[in-house]
Amino acid sequence: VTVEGVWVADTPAALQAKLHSLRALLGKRARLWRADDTEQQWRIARCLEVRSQKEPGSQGHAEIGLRFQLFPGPWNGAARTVNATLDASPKTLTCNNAGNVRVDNAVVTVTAAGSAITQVRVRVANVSDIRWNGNLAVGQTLTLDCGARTARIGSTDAYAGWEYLSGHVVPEWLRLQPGNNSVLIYRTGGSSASTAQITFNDGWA
Amino acid sequence: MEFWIDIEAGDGNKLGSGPITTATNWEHTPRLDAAGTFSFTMPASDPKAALLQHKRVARCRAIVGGTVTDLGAGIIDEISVNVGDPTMLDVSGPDIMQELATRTVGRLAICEQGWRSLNDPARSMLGWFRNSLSGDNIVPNEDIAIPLSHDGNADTYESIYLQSELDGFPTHGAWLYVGHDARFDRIRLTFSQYNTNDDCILQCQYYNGSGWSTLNHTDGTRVGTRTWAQSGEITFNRPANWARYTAAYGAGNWFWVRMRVQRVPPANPSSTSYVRLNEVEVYADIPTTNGVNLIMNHAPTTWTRSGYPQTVTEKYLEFDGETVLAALIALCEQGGQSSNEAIREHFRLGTGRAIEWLGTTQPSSGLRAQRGGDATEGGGELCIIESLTERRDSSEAVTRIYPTSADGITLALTTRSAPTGYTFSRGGNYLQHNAGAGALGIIEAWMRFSDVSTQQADSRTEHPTMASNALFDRVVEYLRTHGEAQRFYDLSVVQFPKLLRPGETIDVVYHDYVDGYHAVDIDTVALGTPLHILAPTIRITPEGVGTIALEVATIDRPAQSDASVLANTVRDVQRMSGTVSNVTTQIISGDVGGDADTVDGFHASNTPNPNTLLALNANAQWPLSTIPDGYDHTKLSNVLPDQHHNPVSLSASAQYLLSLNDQQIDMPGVAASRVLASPIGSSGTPQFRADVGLNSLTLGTKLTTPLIDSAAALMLSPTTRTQTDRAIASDDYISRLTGWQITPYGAADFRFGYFDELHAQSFIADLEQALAGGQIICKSVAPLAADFIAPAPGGDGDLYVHEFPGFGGFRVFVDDDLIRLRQFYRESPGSMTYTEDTTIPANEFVYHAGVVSVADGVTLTVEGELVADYGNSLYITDCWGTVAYHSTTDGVQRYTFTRSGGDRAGQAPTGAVIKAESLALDYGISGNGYYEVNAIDGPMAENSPYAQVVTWSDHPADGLSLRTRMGNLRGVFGTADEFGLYAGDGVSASSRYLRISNEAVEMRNLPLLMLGNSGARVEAHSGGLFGLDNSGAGAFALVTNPVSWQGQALDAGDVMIGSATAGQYIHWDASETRLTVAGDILIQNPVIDWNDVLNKPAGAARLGTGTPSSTGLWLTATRLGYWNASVNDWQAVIQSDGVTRFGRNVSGSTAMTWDPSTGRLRFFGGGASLPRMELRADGALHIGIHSSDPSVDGRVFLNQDGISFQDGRSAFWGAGTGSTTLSGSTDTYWGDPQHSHRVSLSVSGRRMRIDGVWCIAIPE
Repeated sequence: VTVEGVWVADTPAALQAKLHSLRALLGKRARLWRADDTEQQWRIARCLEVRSQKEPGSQGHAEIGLRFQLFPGPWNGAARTVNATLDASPKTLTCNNAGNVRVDNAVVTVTAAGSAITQVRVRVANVSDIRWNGNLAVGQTLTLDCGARTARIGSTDAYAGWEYLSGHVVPEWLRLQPGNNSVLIYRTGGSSASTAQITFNDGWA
Repeated sequence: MEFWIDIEAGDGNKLGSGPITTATNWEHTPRLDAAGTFSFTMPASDPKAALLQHKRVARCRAIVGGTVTDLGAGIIDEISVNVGDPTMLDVSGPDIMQELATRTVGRLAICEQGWRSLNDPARSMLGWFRNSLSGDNIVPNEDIAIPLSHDGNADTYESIYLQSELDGFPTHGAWLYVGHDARFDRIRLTFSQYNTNDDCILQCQYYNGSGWSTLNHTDGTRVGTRTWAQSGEITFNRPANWARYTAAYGAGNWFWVRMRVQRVPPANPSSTSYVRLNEVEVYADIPTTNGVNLIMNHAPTTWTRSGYPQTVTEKYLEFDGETVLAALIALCEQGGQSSNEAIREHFRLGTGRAIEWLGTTQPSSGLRAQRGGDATEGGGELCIIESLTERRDSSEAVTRIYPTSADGITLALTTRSAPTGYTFSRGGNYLQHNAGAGALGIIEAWMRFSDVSTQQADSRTEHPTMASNALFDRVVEYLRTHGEAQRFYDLSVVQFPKLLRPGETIDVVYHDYVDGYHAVDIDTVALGTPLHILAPTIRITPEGVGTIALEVATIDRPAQSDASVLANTVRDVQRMSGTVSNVTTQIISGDVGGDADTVDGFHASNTPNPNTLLALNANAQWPLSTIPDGYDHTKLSNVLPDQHHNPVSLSASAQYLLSLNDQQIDMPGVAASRVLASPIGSSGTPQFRADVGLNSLTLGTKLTTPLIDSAAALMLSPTTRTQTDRAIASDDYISRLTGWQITPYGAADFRFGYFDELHAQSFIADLEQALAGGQIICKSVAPLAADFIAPAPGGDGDLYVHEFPGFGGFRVFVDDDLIRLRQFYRESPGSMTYTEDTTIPANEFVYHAGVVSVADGVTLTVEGELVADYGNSLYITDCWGTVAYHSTTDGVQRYTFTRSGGDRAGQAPTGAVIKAESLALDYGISGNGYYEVNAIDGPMAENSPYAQVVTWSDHPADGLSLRTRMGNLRGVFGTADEFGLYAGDGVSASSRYLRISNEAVEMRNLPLLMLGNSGARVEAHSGGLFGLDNSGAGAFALVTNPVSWQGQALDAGDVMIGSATAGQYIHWDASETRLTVAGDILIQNPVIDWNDVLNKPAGAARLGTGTPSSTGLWLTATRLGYWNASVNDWQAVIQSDGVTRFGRNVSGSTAMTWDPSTGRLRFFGGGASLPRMELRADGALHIGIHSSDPSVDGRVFLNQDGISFQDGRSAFWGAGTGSTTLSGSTDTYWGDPQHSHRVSLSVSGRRMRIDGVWCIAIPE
């Protein structure tokens, strides 16, 4: 993505300060936002280039150009959170992706209650079917960051118990298509007071 | 194409938080019959780059064809940083097959055991060695041949008599000798007529080098008490000291086992039965097709180690520390023949951690590689060659080989014949590749193949022949792959979207002309011989996956490189240094000389004289298969100083058993090799095995121990199921109250259970407490006046209850009381529709037209539409909490209900609705309890009926205590049909309880007190039985445990009656075995008869009649006295007639007798017949008895009339101390002559002279 425009400041010093802050972005990876009249959307990008040009005699404004490397994934729209108590296994969580492209960076968390959970399975029929095996003690939370592809209990790595089941047919861990997606959460162990949460942003092209 | 890379530890566990997803490419080059290579590139900025560490495993996966597919794995050996924009990391190393190079097969022998006929006299012998009687001499019968029993024909037989022909030895049969050129494990006997005699056992022996030893065996021919009663196998373990021997005349020198039928006493000498022995075979070493599994069994445990296919041809090899990978390669190089053609087998990396054994199969890839722009020739898919390198090399060529094995075996004994295209010279000991010799001329090589050797060095024909055959196969394979110049090609191809695999074949067409010269001419299509793919390179990028390079050749072996030549040379040198040549070995035993303490760890008794040690017989000392630490101690050159130890061999005799006094068995070294195990049993597994490498202990039958503890979770993982014939229960179990129990009959009793669904053929809901307290009576109860919504644990809610009828304004609950609410509800039914092709995962329950359960691991695919109904499950849950009064309106009391937290909240879900009119039970406060009557406890109500009182502390959800139970006590003590009363605080050994039932009256840790109204009491407890009188003084004590009682220290077994403080008691001291009576002893009727006195005092006895048998006080029927056995007479005696004697009238002694019949008391001395003095009944005292006539007076006598003297006797009186003798005429005086006087009497003269003056008596 290349962004070009003109920056205006009240004073040359103010403009210079703005340009300095702009150049500080070079090489950084962060959210890159875009907005229209109704919504703001973002995605992860790295600033590869910052250009600026001031015309002689016009010390209050400058032409700038920014070039970003976009990381894979859609533009992230409104944030969604779906909570559920795992009082049945499987428990269906309906995730409504209100965007227009699929989302693959949802974050799934499962918190054990009653007793330890030894298996967590996340499944979308005919799309993805992944399972974590281990020991999730009462009160601990398993976080599956499907975008970063990380599995952690708190801050502890927990990828050792990871496996793909036969119904997993996509490279992502979890794929949410535009519209309603029924995500089935299975738990082995734990009580019906265990909880699950799926957070994601609408995906936009 | 999106792919990801998992980083794994050596054990296969994934590391980190997730996979690497930023790699830009992945390349894998698997190789045929070898480990391949891999590499990938990823940004250095990815935090997951921290996972890249040496020797970790990188595994690439991607979605291929809708499935997560393993695209290869490798061991990270090299990580390069490629600085740039962005900075990248290049990671590479060998592929995962290299892990097979990290394990050694040790001294693995590739062979197996099979049945061998004894019909070849050059390899075996069977003999029947009888004893005959010639005169008085026992003469071996030389006629030992029984040829029809080992002719390979089961229809012919020889008769073997069970009775010896030797007179006097009828109980044993003759020896049957079984000999073979090599050691064997079993003997198979085929009979057509069997032994019919009972009480016969089979005796087996082997030759141990110096004599015959018992051979422990399993007799498969035995039926009941009869051996040889059926055809079967004699199974045994090869003895370590089994030696060759010439057992009998003309029988030959073999490894012998001899056996005979032995009669069990009492024998029946008259029995003359015999058996018909049709065939005898032995189970001995033979080449095997199971070599792949034998080798892979040594692979790392993360690899598939068994289940591989058999090789096409049999192999006979012996390894000496090669790696698993090298051993597999050697197995390939061993070659073989099929249909008179030389063959070679191959393997490649399989899926995951497994190899794929291809055998001789080399499938066609169906692909043709061709130069871009060339005209298409032939069919099949096309692959465009970007570049090509060809190498032709004849430097490796050899056309004639003169081989020997590692131990010097040649081709002399081979039974092989040359395959097509080869020439074999047995006399010249060579094999020749004819086509190669024709094309390149004779190129000879004298080669020693180090992986071929005999596996029993003292076998003279069997194993040398097998080694010779293996050598033959090995040479043929070498000539096949080296007899002609071969061509090797490296192709670079345009990424082809197909994953080619090593071992496949491919056609290659490539022509290049230089100035009209046909410089490159490759056309396998025209030749009809496709090339062998030795190593394809697979590349995966975001753009896709495909093959980018191929290493192909005209021969199915890799080109030799300097490195491979060097590696093979090193391996051969290593093997040579560790190989014992096939020379006669010498068993060193006994003291054969030398005065050193040890030689390389061998005991002095086994120390040879200097320069006389030729070799040690490995089979005799340490069987190769049982070398315990991987070091062959029979070959001193192989053993480092720190690897030495003394060989230990133990026999079955008790004096040779291993005994460790306060020592432990240490097994240092590689964990995987440290094993302590019993021999393999008939089941194929050892009865005992401790495996350090696996951290495991295996017992074949039984583990007996009172406690199994574990620092971590304890898991039971039987192959089928965990069985018990006793109940499993917690130690505090009381039915329906505390703890839990599962019985083998299927009854379970838990305090809480959660079920996703509950299926029950009958369901009994425990509703008693809801029936207005009719069954459970607790502090209070009230019906709900409105639905109650269960708050979250720890949360609050309003609870509305009705007032007690007639008690308006009276609060039904006290603040802070614990209230139990119970929810009963049934899940609303529903349904779910599965459409066609929907996959129903395994382990999910689906209801449809009844119950359909999906078995473990089975996935059902719906064809059509399936409607799954669910619901109707009944849930019963508790909601516990405390109450605080709020208000009362219209007879309804409102309380604030604060639900308990954690597990004490009960299982009613938050928001659960407990319907109005349900009962709220008030359990009161900690320490309160309730009364319950129950008639449905347990399955089939087996624990009830009963009434019980229960209290609780802290919280009733987990703090119940049974105080009393009356009725069925099975739930308390576990005894069926036990009825009675229980009261106490538990049922453990330390508990205090009372049990009165039809099983026992038991007071555990409780005293039994019986009290009167005036202070007297009896107290019984485990310390004994004690009584106190009204004053508190001790009355009695029966002691079972040491106790201080009334100031006395009493021990177990002591008995005290009376008061010690008053000094009047009887005390039996058990430890001192002493009875103390402080007070009088009064014995009244009936009297104690002498016979009632046991263990009478020493020297005191009672005799009815006869003579006493020993010295002592005796009481007889007629006498009482002291019997002196040494003189055989009474020393003093009182007779029944009153006659009494003290002393004995014998020489040197005196005696006094009393005879009441005569009234005489007499005094005897020196054995005289007449007494010296006697006192007669008329009162006269007679002295000097001189007549046995009792009427005759003594010479002096005294009676009431006076004293009388017979004639010649005198009377003296006077004073003083002098004396005189009255004899003759000499006057002697008593006393002072001036004051003493003598009277001399003369009756006849009637005169008396006093002091010499005669006084005359004048007659009247």
